[in-house]
Amino acid sequence: MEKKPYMKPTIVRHTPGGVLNKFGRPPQTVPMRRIEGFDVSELAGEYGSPLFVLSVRELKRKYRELDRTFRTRYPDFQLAYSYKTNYLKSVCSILHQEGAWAEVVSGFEYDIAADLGVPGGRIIFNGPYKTRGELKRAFENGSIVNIDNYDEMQVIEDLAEEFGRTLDVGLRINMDLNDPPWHKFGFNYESGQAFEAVRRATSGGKLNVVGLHMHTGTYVDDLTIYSRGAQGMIDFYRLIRDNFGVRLKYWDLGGGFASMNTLHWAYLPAEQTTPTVDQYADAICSVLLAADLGGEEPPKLFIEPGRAIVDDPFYLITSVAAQKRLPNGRRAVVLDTGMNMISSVQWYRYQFQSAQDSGTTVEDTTVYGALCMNIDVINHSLSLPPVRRGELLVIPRVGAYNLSQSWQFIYLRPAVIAIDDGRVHVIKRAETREYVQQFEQVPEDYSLPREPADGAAS
Amino acid sequence: MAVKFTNDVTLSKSGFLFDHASGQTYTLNPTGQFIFRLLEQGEESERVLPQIVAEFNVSESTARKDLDDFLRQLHELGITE
Amino acid sequence: MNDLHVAVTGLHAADNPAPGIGVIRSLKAAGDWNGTIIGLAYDVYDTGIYDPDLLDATYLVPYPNQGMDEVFARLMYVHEQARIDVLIPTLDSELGLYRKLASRLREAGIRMFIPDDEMMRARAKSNLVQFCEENGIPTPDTFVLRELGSLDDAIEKIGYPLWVKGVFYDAYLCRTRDDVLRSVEKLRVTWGLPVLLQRSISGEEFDVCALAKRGELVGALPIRKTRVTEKGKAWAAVSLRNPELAELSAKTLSALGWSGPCELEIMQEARTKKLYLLEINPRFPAWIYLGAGAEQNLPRVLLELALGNEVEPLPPAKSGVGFVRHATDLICPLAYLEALTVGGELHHPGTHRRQS
Repeated sequence: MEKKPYMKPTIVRHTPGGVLNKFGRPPQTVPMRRIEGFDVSELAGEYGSPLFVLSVRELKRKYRELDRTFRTRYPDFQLAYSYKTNYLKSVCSILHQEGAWAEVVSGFEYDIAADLGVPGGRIIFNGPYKTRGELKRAFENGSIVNIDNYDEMQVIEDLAEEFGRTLDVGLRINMDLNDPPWHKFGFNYESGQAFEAVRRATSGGKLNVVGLHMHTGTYVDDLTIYSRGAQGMIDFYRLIRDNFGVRLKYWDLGGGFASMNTLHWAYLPAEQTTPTVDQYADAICSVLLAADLGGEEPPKLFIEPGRAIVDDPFYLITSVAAQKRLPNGRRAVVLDTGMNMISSVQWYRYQFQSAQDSGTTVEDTTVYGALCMNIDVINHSLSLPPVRRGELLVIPRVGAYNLSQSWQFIYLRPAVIAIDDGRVHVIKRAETREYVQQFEQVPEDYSLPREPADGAAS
Repeated sequence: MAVKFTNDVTLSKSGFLFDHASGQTYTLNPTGQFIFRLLEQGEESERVLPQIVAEFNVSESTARKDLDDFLRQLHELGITE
Repeated sequence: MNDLHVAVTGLHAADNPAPGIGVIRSLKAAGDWNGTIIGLAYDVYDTGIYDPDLLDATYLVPYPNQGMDEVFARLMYVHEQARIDVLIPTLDSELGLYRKLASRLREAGIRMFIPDDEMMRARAKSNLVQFCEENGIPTPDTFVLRELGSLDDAIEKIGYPLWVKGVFYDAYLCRTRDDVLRSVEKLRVTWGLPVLLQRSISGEEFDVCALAKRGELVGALPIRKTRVTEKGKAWAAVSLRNPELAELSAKTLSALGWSGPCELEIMQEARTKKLYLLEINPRFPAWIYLGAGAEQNLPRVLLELALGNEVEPLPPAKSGVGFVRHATDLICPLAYLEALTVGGELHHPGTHRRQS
């Protein structure tokens, strides 16, 4: 006689709002067995768990969607990829192959782009702290530099003197668009700082203001912030053109587009609140193109997305290290990775699912990370089907900031692989202890005596 | 050893469990129901394992671990003593 | 209205009643009702499920924040089992989702009559101040708190007493900073940010339930709340004939180009007699059943609009009709709980078949 199919036996206590959600089959019970045709357990078997997986096809699709959407709306458009969101060399390189320029915010990032072979003229150098040496190199290479503050302006004026020519620069400006407003970067528009900064830059005779840059925020899902920002940019341009004869070659609206991850404090999921690429593009382009510039061709438009490109194409495969029951009856699960690898758990309510079919019975579960720190909680309330130690889970949409902000702590950081059209490439090997400690040395004075190799201590 | 139930409980055909003394309700999946029925009939917990393996398509080692989890959970939920 | 199948959400009528029950009772009170009511419930304890005269079938559906595809798949299941001709969502927190699903539902043969994204955005609590300013509609000073750091600025700007309001639901009247902090925290945890701080206007509270199509009023039911709960919900009210309220409602809905049902909350300041628009809720209010008695059965008219039929504006509501809300205890068979918990649906032994 054929035996019945087996599922791990479960009993779920009914708590208000706790059980009924299974109708309609919550996403957590739909197993994610494969990522683009690759069996999750085989990937983990071969490359280990935890493991970051990049879908190259999704990465390209994200880039192309953004690029095409803006390009079809705005005649002279260029996307510059925000390195800080994920500067794995392969990721940057793929995006450059697709046509992206580099948007870097430190000398470290600048070097990554330059070493990859990005021509200097296709690197935009932002960020609040740039050293004199880094600035010098950027100007020598013909990169675009957007000035953040007066101290920096002075350094660049010195460089102009050194070079014996005027230097083309952009100016970072900020506006009261958000609550609280983002005043950290550049010069404020409403208070007149930005106007003064242009006066100061143009009056010295060493700088030529050719660009304006504004970064309105991060994870911005309010479209009016972009349309108001774009309008402010136009108004400011008219003002400095009339007063100082500035002629812009570009305006740069920065990045900040939201992804499909949901923020902790949002009630509705991101799929219901995050605008589409079309909507972002319309909010920006319709305002810029309607600008009356008195017959002047509209300047080149840059945008600098990062999160909106790299968040979705990355997955984190992780496995269950343990299950426990908390004193209040709640189920808890411990993973083999922690918030040091997905620091965005501070902002995101990550939803994730099992890589196995574990049935449709779900239970509200607290998911702990592997760190020996009480704060390491990956999800306070996730409806998960029953899982066993060693079972795999897949956390989707982990590409933005997590890798570039990861920190090494008590465990080694995992490998990153890219899957592309049926092939697997290791784009970053898993760390080794030798790698982590390679720059350490223990002076002779502090060395412990080595015990004899035969283990004589008894 | 037979498992002792804390309170009078009724498990319906659908897997809906009602505790008459506490008023608490639960849902059991088919495997859970199968085990629960055996326990209800006074089956000794040691004798449940072979019956799971006979009934379902599962290895003994997996079933043993899962049964152990399940019995512990019944205890932690206060359903069994 | 031959054998129309209408699905309604918002079946929980406890201390803060959802409008679904009133909508269903309104439909059933129409003289020509001969349809089937399908309840879409979120919890096995949604109270309406246990009213023996209300529903023909109940299906549990995933919460809106569980994801669009999940909700859609469940609705398609219900549609297959029970057929849905018209769906009436009645909860604020659902509307964004249903708006996004509208075209897919229409393709499947399920019709709705709800406002579009543009209208929803303009009347959102966090945008209402701007909308009112642009259209010359008076509204109390409001501060949209997006970040806790600006709390003291907000308090200073608004002054005590003030209302602290969630983006979707709930409001607390506060008189001290501690009150405000507690309320903001409570709302932030439940509904997220932003939270609104609004000047409290002392005076008479009015509500208008209205139904409009492309900015034109089809019907309106103005009331004065004669008794309110601690949370300001009406438990008794009386219908009115009041040209000023009608004018403010018409002006507001015309400026919004509104299509769909709504509830306008309006305060008349005691000192100045001036009317202030407090809120526009993009759905029927919980007390909508009063319309069945005041010759303003708006859910019945909404069915026609959802089906795409032409509708003449209704004559003004009959004034002087009152309602009181009366809480009662219903017997709750364990079998109902079991059917819903285990199977997610319940075919009520009662109403429809008994009537036919």
